[in-house]
Amino acid sequence: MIVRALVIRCAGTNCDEETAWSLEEAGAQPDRVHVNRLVRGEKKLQDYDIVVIPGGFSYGDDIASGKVLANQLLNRLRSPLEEFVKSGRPLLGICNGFQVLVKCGLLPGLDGEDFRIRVTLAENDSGRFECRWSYLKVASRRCPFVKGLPSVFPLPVAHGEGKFVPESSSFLTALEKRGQVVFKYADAHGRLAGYPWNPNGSVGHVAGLCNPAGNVLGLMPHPERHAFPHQHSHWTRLSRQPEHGVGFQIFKNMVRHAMEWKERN
Amino acid sequence: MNWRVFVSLKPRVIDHRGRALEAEWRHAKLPSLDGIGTGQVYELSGSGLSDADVQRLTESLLTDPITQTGEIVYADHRPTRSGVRRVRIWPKPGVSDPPAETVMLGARDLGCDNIERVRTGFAYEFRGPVSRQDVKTFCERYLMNDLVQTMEME
Amino acid sequence: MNPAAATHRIEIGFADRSPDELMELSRGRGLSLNLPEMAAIQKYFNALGRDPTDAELETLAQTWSEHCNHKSFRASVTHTEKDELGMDRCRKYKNLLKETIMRVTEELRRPWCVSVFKDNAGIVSYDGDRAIAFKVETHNHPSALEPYGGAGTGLGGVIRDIMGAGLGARPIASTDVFCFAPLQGQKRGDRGRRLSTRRIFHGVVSGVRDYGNRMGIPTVNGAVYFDEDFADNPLVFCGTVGILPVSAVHKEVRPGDRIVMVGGRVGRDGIHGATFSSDSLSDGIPSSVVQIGNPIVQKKMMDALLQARDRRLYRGVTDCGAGGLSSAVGEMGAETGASVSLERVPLKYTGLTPWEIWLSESQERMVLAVPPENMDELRLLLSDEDVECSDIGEFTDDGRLRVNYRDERIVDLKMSFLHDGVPKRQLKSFWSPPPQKAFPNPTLRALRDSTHLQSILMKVLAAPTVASKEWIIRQYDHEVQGRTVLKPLVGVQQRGPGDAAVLRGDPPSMAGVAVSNGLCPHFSRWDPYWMAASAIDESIRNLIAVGARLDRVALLDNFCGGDPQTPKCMGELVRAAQACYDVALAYGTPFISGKDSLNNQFVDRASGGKRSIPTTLLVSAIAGVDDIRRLITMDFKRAGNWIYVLGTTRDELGGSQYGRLLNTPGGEVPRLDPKETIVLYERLSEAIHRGWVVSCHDCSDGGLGVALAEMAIGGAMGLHVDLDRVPVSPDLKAQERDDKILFSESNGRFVAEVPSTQARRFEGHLQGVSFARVGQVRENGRIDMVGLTRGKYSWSLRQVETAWREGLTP
Repeated sequence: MIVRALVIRCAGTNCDEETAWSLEEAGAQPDRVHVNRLVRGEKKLQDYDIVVIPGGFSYGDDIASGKVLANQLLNRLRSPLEEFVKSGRPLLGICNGFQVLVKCGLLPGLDGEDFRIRVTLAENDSGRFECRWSYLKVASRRCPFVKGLPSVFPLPVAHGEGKFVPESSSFLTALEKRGQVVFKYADAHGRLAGYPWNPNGSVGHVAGLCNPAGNVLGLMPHPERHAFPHQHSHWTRLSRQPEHGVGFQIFKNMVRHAMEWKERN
Repeated sequence: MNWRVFVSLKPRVIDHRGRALEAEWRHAKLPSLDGIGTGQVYELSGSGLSDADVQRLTESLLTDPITQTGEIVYADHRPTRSGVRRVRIWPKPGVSDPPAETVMLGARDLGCDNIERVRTGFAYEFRGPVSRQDVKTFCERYLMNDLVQTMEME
Repeated sequence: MNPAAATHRIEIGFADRSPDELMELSRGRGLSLNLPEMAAIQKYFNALGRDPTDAELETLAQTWSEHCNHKSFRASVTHTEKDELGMDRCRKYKNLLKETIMRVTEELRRPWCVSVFKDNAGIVSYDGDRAIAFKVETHNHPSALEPYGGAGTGLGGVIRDIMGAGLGARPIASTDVFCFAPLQGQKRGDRGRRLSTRRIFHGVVSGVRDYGNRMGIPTVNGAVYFDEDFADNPLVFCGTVGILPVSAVHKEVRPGDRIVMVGGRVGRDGIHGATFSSDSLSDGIPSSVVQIGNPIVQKKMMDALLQARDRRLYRGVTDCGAGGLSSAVGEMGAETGASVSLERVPLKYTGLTPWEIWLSESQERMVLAVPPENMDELRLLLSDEDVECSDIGEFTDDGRLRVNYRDERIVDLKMSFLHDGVPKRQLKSFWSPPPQKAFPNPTLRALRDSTHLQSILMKVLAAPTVASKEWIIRQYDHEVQGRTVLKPLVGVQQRGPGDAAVLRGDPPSMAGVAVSNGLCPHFSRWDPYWMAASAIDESIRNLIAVGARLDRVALLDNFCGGDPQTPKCMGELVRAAQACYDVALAYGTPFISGKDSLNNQFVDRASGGKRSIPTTLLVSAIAGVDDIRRLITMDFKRAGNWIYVLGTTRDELGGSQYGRLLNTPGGEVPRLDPKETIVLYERLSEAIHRGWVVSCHDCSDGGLGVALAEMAIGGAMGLHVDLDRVPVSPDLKAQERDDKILFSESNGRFVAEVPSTQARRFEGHLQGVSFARVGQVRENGRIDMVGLTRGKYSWSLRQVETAWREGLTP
């Protein structure tokens, strides 16, 4: 059974190649496709089992990070996207991809809310681009793509606009109660902490969200940058290297989820 | 038909760049002021462009509903506020303005083909009893390079 | 000017001009051509019986410019030196570059040097069918004028060089090295400077950051060097490494191929000295525009061209950089000939004169040689990626460069005259060693007071050149593409400064490329020969320290200097070039590419006095690595492991960070004996490869003291060291100077950490080389040393780290 993964790219997308490697390593057949071709209908979302919006500087981060691509997807690919999400197939947004998902309202994607924007990812508190490793704590196991992840694990971030801001603190509480806050920034012991463990000042230390059904996941850190063991921030200090980096697990879970979906449908 | 959209942060959102500029102002030993606010300004023109178009662009494309507000000003009739000096910094003619092209692209995705020209710039607000000269000096020293930018003060 | 009515062919009266008038013309049009050059042009056109057009003159000026032609480095130089006995020694070079830097590579004949000094970058093969392209360039003047745009476009330019290496390499990493004056105490308006050093600094850091981040190229290596000497002339070096299949290294141009311009449109960017053209002001567009780059346009172009390359849709490619189309088409068509129609070039705005279109340096453009049968497929591919392309002419077989605007001929030159017609420069150069001064002795009291030495280490660590650059490094994405296996910051919390960065090739291969640099401009004030030798050695040490091997190392040279017409400045360049030959040959490390940026000087208009930068050589080095799993980093790994110092420490404090603290011109500058160091490097590489060494760091700025502190910081561990065990030269031993041992910046030295279980094997392997076990890694959070006369020094790791991390504030 071939699991076909779509990696959407556009002007300024950067992380698509290594995202494709990770998907391939996880057993999928990745296809890096320019959004123009999707808009023209040359390739269709429905023909894929997994969709990933990778990291980068889509449209140069002009106006706001991810806004223009979000706008493009919302206005040109709304139905195919809606259909894909409703079908329960995996949709992953990494960094810029996460920004796109919140700015077109697919995350938190509350039922009946039809692409309403409820949270955003704003400029880092430090006022600077931050390229560093941090730790993530798994805050909810609702999303099936976190299966097998340790409760605290390291991943790198690299962004200038990663500060999670909800429309209100009560809204954030509601999201947490529903298990939609998937990852939080933490220190090595899993404790919620300030800078640099929370590299951007995210409210509630939120690093990743999922939709109510759990098949749409967005996170600011880059799992594809810790899919291979020698990408680890200090692998020379470790006596043994595992077969894969911990980020790889997310891709593995998505491929498995897609396979199960295909078997059912 | 000429509109300007001023995008700024909502009051409860921390303006990091503004704070950094306030530190520079103090470092420059200029007479104290109440605060500096930063934002973007988009100038949109087109003969077929309507108020409704600009409204939609502002809400759907140019501002983030969670953290930003947009103020739409028609043909530069911006109501002045006392105790505030406003500056706009634009790219000089001929200097590339990539966000302008991106705005056109985004507008087309929203179904708006009526924009003929876009210009993007930075908008700054200096709050408090500051003199025009002090603001001008500060901008020239810290905010713009006259080789590639021009400054407009209200 | 109404384009429809007026002619575009403007002739410049030339035939009857006297030498003075020719020079007046050169100055007035900003051509920067000297009298022999203007005379050569006059002779050429007299033979043709006509005057040159403005476009022809500008084309010649660009192609013959220092930047494009390296006239000074290719010059005949008569070099005189005063040796140590005060005797004059003279040497004549027919072509300085060929007889020094290029000669090393020729003599070494390394089979893995696939394309050197030919193409836009140096290309070496590695890992079977893959090759690496590497280029480093400066963008000094534009960065001083408009730091953000200038530095950004500097990086953009070197990235395009990689995109134009072979049939196109994929950029996989960038390096940035900056030289500024110290940030404190600089004000705008000092000596008429437009922008303060702080502003330039922040602009440059941001400009390079934004361009590199947006292109998705990780910035993995670099340095920031502070020295008052760069106050008027900051230096900005940008480099990029690319990867390509060996099968894509060969490029060619055939008559009949279309000339295709790809990427951005053309405006009046960067056109030099266009002060005369009053017509151009009528559109409101200024006559010469300093540009901000657009990395997204370049990224789209790169994505598209790599696909076009793999489909073999074009035969040749080069980037459009200095001199714009005139240089790109001129170079590509050098062996064949070319014919261009400028009205086909897409413009950003109207009103450009033909020569402006031809010479414009608008960014983000490449030029391709495309077989006509591939044009349709190429157009389709490019439009899919939103990249513009224009067919602007064809390569011919008549050996001429012909450029038209509609039906008017604007340029008609013989390619051979364009490329080989420039008269060879004859330069005189001179160098004599500065008077020797002794390095000061501390007072007897200070010698006995251990807090004195303790405070020196803290101060040296806090010196801006030495201090942590973490807050700069973290603004640059150094992980994009997922290839960075040895990162710029290493250790427990990734705070330690890595010696070299290593990128992995495409999986599943475990091969990689290590990148490093070496820079020590201040040494030039003593002797540019040893400055160059030390820069080369530093770049190599950095590679060896992570586990790369000497026999895989390739070098790039980037010279920055003053006015080559000044014998003293030229003399420094000659001396540095000579060291390049001597040292690189001894090490067996070929140069594969290089650049020079001259005339970095400030002329005080009031007094007429000139002040130039010290002759600065940045050496960038790469080495292919067979297996990245065998590499190591500089952070101490485990308490109880032994600490070794490898290499001999000498009384060489001239130019050191410690010397600067004392503000002294005294001491001897570090020298180098490759015969000794080669043996050490080879033994060390083998020891690392065998797994006997778990961490290694080279000694450079701040010497042994800083190296030990950095390893402790990286590993969050303490140490204990006995200074009397450090291998030192006999004369240094006799002096009993703990400060000299700690802060001498002698070349060829490392600190290595070896577990006790491997100690015997390690020591046996290094027999015959200068090394010693000097101490041990500790868990106690303290850095403890015992001096030669049993003085005890102790620092808390936390204090040391704080001083180092806070030395350079934003």
